[in-house]
Order: sequence, then structure tokens, then C-alpha cells
Amino acid sequence: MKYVLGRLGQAAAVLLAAFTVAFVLLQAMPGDALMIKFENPELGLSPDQIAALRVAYGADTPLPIQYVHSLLGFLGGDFGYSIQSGTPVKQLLAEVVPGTLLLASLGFVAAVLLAVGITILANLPGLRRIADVFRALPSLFVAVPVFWLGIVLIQVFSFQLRLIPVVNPGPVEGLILPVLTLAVPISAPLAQILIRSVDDVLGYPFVAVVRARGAGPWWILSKNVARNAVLPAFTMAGVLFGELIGGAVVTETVFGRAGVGRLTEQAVSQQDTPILLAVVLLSATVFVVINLVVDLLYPVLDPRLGARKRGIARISRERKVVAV
Amino acid sequence: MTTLTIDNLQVSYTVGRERLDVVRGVSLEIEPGQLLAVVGESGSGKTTTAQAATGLLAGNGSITGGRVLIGESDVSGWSEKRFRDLRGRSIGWIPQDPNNSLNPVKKVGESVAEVLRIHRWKDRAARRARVIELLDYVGIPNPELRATQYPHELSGGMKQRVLIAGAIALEPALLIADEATSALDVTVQAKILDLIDTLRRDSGTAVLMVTHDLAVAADRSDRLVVLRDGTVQESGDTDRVLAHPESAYTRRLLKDAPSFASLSLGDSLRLDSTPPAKPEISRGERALHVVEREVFEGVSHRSEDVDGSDAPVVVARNLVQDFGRAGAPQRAVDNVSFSIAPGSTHAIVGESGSGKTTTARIVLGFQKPTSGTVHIHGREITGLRGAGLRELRRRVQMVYQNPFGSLDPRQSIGDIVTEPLRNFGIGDAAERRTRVAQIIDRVALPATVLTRRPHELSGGQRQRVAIARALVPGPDVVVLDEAVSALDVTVQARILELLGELQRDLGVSYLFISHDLAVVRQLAHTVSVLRGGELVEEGRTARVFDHPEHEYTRQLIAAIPGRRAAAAGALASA
Ligand SMILES: Nc1ncnc2c1ncn2[C@@H]1O[C@H](COP(=O)(O)OP(=O)(O)O)[C@@H](O)[C@H]1O
Ligand SMILES: [Mg+2]
Repeated sequence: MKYVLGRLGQAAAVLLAAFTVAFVLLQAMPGDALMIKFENPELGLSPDQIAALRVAYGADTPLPIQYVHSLLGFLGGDFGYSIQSGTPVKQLLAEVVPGTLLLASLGFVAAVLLAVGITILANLPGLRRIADVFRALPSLFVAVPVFWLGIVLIQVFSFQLRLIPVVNPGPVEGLILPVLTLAVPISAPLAQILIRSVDDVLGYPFVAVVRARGAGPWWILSKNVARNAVLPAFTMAGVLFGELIGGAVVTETVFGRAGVGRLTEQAVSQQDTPILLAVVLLSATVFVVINLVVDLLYPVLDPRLGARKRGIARISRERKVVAV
Repeated sequence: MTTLTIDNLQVSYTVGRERLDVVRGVSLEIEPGQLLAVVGESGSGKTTTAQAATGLLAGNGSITGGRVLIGESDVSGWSEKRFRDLRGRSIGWIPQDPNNSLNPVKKVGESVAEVLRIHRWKDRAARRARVIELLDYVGIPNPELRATQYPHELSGGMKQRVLIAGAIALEPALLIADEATSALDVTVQAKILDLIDTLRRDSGTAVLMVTHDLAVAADRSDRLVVLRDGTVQESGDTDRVLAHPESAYTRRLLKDAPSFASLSLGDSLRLDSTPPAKPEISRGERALHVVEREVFEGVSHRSEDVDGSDAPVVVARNLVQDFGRAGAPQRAVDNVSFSIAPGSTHAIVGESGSGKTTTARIVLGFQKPTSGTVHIHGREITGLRGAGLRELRRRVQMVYQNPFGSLDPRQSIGDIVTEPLRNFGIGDAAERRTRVAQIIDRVALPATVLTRRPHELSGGQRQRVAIARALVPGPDVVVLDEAVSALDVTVQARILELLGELQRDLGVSYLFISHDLAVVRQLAHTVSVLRGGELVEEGRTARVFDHPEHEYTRQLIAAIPGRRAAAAGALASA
């Protein structure tokens, strides 16, 4: 329990740090959204008028006060207003988050299925030749850029085979290609880890024992190796999520889907800081939550963890003693 | 009906384009209830023979000749699928290292039940009942609870019992135990071997025991097969082989096995049996008396009492080492004292977890004890830093168990042995070269090894290199942590001889850490017995072994394998 509370506190600290860093970096960017919006010569505003607008937007208040102000706002669920359109950031996010969430989760599920499938095929007993082909696949996938894959998929499935319309596809049809585009590059590192750890686990002495008791290759793989091999891949979930976000931005742009990715892209080009700050914090939150879940779930999957933790504490203590 | 017949078996491995014939005409037979031991040094083909009998050869191995009969069926040409039905059901297998042989994320009860599931025991309740019955039979207390625990919650001996439970679950006619007790402490080993004996008596199971430990084989087997380079050197009734070995190789094995050597030597300590002509020894002897006065009789040693050179080199007093959190510390070493006379060997023996290595680390200055002092040549060394610590590092050297892990694979042997001289700034380049050449010659290695790399040497040669590296800066004390434990007996015997010679010639003292009482008895002048971090007994080796005062020491000594061989040897020589 103490462990859980500790991890929660840690998560909160990470979020605060993420907010602070994002705030500082966004303020440090050259130029600002107000200038981009109002110094447009076509508007013909005088410097005095611009100065008045700046006061209205609160841009002249000292930075520390702005920081505290927006931090309190975030804590209360108020993310401020878009400078470009004046719409509440919360409302903008509410419009795009569900779509992105759907894309990302489907992409993740597809990536996991793909990776597990490749791993199984790479370990097919008796089919060494085929297995070798599948062993080579992930390194190929890793090298594929998301945007390029998207374009190729559209070319093949929409223009050549005409299976999926480009303009106004149905809600399900419209998801197929983006999900694939997103899933393939993410499945690659996952499959690499899975294949490697299956190989490792197959070399453990306990596998030899199970074999000596009459188990066949399938039994060994599914009932003994799988759970051990999943553990290292599981700890990768947090890192993979980072790739998922990056992938989603590109995918949404390539397929012209409304989503957090497109919103972010627009906000960057217009330097719309409130939106960017909210997006950064949203990503950080999901990231932290995923890692928290992984950490809390890991001991459930690996019964040794409790014991090992104690062991690690003991070792680090020994080291300290030596250093003294 | 003979349970297992191996008839002129030939096995080879293909590596690249090469074919290695590793088993070349091995024959043996095991009757129900018999225990046949296959002994030999590592690489002699023991494991390969056992694997061939169960169709468990590595992918690149194949049977190229001969027959294997299980019961009456010739299985040598069987497919993997047909073998599967046999494994677990007719042949049980007990693995070598219990610590990695259970699935870490499975409850141990499920691991035992797995063999039942593989062989289609569909009824869950029946499986559970059988698992509890088995765990109880192999001597696991509170089996209902234990069945729900994970492997990391069990001790090594307990895990081996669980593995045996799995191996005998379907009452196989044949059990194969490949080095099944080699990784265990002696007292645990003795209990596991007793369990296997009980099993043979209760169910008439035939056992094929594969081991490098001749003493274990001698104690427990009905028949012995001695292998070397894949060929049978000798085979026959154990009593006969021990009393009248026919082959020269068996005779050498028997001679080199430390447990036989020391037991048949009887009571005499190396030290006492050496002719007094050697002045170093008598000096060591005199020094021992000084140490004894101090340690065993509680006489405090004052330097003016004796000739300075006889003062103990190492005096450790009341060492305590705690690990873990301040609130709930784990005491790894609990009030341990000992001292080492110059030119003598002090052994610390004990089972795993008894605090041997931690004590050694304190003496080496790698670890600052929670309390207690260590004096080396009268100088307190706990908590030394800087120049003082460097000087300590030179005077106290170390040889590890695994010669391969402790030698940098990318360096030549010459560089490895020169390194300490460079580190401590001893001599110029020419002087270093002569010193290295001398020490290499001293450890009986040819000068040609200087340009080789560790992987080109055998295990024994690597350990000689490690010894040379330890001795080259001219230390007063060398700490040997299980330094001969990983070696084959004949290699081990040579290394032990070398250590004795070097001590006599150079006057260096050894702190010898070992779990192997037979070796300790052979080499050490004085000994401390540790259990759970506490000093149980200490004294001159001969006294401790012949008249142990503490119950635990008695148990340890009783567990040393090799009594039967010693008895047979005595018979033969009488
Ligand atoms: N899979 C393998 N491929 C090639 N050589 C092997 C293989 N397994 C064992 N060997 C070699 O076969 C010989 C016998 O090995 P092994 O049966 O394990 O001996 P032991 O059990 O007596 O130590 C050794 O020289 C070893 O290096
Ligand atoms: Mg072996």
C-alpha cells in the first residue's frame, strides 16, 4: 500500500514537472500567437490597439503570475482559451480526443496482435525456413516511416484495388488504413522484444525439465514460455505509447482525419500556446497513467518481484557501504 | 527385466562441418531398484549418454550407432513424438540446478501437476490430491501451503524435492539424475540422496545417476561406470571397483578425490606429516602456537612476547555485518573472530548463506563491517581509504571461483599477470617482465601462455593464471573464495598441490573459503565453521575433524560423501 501511495506521489510530481517545463519552453519560443494574429497588416491595427489587446489577453502580466494562474486553472479543469479562435481549449479537445483515442487504442491492439502473431510464426516448430522469414520481418517494419506507409496503403487499397474509398469512407472503412499505418511500426519493436525473450526463455533450464516430462513444443510455448516472455515486453508499454502519439499525429495528417494530431499541428504553426500546453499535459497524463498501471500490474504478473525488490535494496545498500 | 540397456552407444554432435564423436561405444545395464552411477570428468560424455537414452539430445546431436532399450523396446530410432509419451511416464528426470529448473511464474504445485496434465490426467481434484501426496512423500512439510507458493519462496533443497516429486509423479520405472545434487550444500545433498535411496526401496525404481563426484557415486551406487572421453574406462560392482580398480584412470581418480585422500590419510594434517626439514614449515608451526595461545586460550598477544615474524598476519575480531534496512537488519556475519599465522592456511567452511564470502570481503577491505576490527600485520584495515587502502589491496590478494569470469577475455595472459604490477607501480618494464616470467614458471605454466588469451586455456590453466596474478605483487595474504570448487578432481588435486608448494616456498598465508569439507581438511591448518553468520566451532583442522565439539560440525562431517570408498580403500590396503 505504501508502495502504491509512493508511486502515485511520484506520478503527480512528474506531471507538475511536465507542466512547468512545457510552460517555460512555450514562453521562450520566439514570437507569440498574439503577434501572429493581430500584427497581420491586413487588420490594420495600430501599435496602441495591439498593446490594449495584449492587456486584455493578460499577456503583459509577469510570467510567474501567469504560471500560477494557468497552473491553478489546469488543476480546476480550466485550460484557457485558444488565442487563434477564442474557443475554450477544453471544448476543442473534447471534439478531437475521442477520435484520436479510438485510433490509438485500435492501433495499439492491432500492433499487439501483429507482434504476437509474428512471434508465434517465428517459433513455429518444424518450420525453420518460414520462421526465419518472420524473424526478419520486424527489422523491416522498424525501418518503415509512418507517412510513407500511409501513402503506400492509400495507393494500393484505395486507388489501385479500389477497396476503400478515399473520399467519405464509412466510419469503419475509414479506420482500417489509419489503424494499419499506425500499428505496423509499433508492432515491430514489440515483436523484436517478444522474439528475443522467447528465445531466452526457451534456453532456461526449467524448459528442459518440462520437455523431459513429455511436453511438446506447443505446450512449452503456450503454457510455460509465454508468460515469462511477455514480462520484458510489458515494461515497454510506456515507451511504445510515446511512439503511438507521434504516429497518431502523422497518421491523422496523412489521412486528413480530425484529431489531437491535427489540432496539435495547427497549434504549432500558429503558436497557439494554451492549446499546446493542454496537449502536452494531456499526453503526459496518459503516459504517466500507463506507466503507473504497468508498474502496479507487474508484481501481479511476476510473483518474484516482491522478493527481487528486497534483493535490490540490499545490493544497493552493500554498494553504498563499499563506497563509504 | 532390465530397465535400461545401453549397448555400444555412439553419439556425435555436428558443429559447423565437423562431426564430434563424443560417446564412443558406451554399454551399461540397470536392473529394477538398482542405482548405477556414471562418473567422469566434465566433457567425458556423461550427460550426452543420459540424454541419448531419453531422446533429449541437442538438435545437433544424433545417435550414430548402438542401441538403447527401455524395458524391452529398442528406442534408438524413435521419433520425438513417440519419445514424448515415454518421458515423464516411464522415465523421470531430475535436473542439475534446482534453482532454475522450476518455472518462476508458476506455483510449485502446478509445476508438479503439469506432468500429470501432459499425460492426460483430466480430473482436477485427482491431480491436486496426487500433488499433495507427492510433496508429502518427498518430505516437504505442510504440502498444502507449499503447493501454493512460488519457487523463489523455497530453499534450494526444497526445490529439488519438488522436482523429484514431479519426476516420480507417474511412477516411472527409470529415474535419471544428472548432477542432481551437485549444486546443493552437503547436508542437503545427503538428505536428497537419502530420499532417492528410499524411493528405490519403496518402488523398485531404477536410477541412472550422472555425476562428476566420485565420492557421491561411491557411497550410493550398486554399480559404477567410469567414463573418459566418451569411452568406458571401467565398469562393475561399486565395491569391487573401489577395492580393486582395474584401470589406471580409475586409480588416479580415486587418488585425487579429496574426500578419499583425506579420509584415508586418516588424521594427520598436511602440516604435521611434512618432514621438519623445511624451515618455513617449522616457522608456520611455531606461529600457529602463538595464534592458538591467543585465540583459543584467550591470551592476548603482545608483540614483545614473540619474535615479530611469528605474529599473526591477520587478526579479525568480533566481526558483525548487517545488511538491509536499519529497522529490520539482516545479520550476515555475527561476531566472528579468527586469526591466521604467517605461512599457514585458515579455512572458513559453511553452507551457502553462512557468511563466508561476506567475511572474506571484509578482510579484503571491500566491505566495512558494522562492527569489529581486522588487523593485518598489526594495522587496522576496516575503513581504510586512499593510500592505505591501496597498500592493503597489494598485500591482500584474491582468487575467485570462476577463473573465466575473473580474467578479462580481451587481454593476453601476459597483460593480465602484469596488470597488478602496473597498478601498484612495481618495478620498471624490464623488471616486470622478469617477475611475470618467474611467477608463470612458478605456477607451472609454459612461457608460451603469455601471449595467449584466457579462452584458449583449460579451466585448470586459467586458475593457475589467476593464482599467478594474485601472487605477482608479493602479497602477505591470498583470499581463495571457492577457488577450486569448479574444477574436476584431478585438476583440483594438482591446484591444491600447487597452492601447498607456493605456500611453503613463499611463506604466503591463505584465507581459504570453501563449502567443501574434504578439500578443507586436506589443505587447511586451522578452520572456522560458520552457520548462519555465527562461528560454530574453530580450531586446528585435525582436532575439528576428528573431535568435533559442536553438533552442527558433527552433522557437516557426517554428510561428507566418500565413507564407503574410504572403507573399501582401507580394506584393500589392509
Ligand atoms: N550440443 C552440443 N554441440 C556440440 N558439442 C557438444 C554439445 N553438447 C555437448 N557437447 C560436447 O560433448 C562432450 C561431452 O559433453 P557432456 O555429455 O555434456 O559431458 P559431461 O556431462 O560428462 O560433462 C563435450 O566435449 C561437450 O563439449
Ligand atoms: Mg554433464
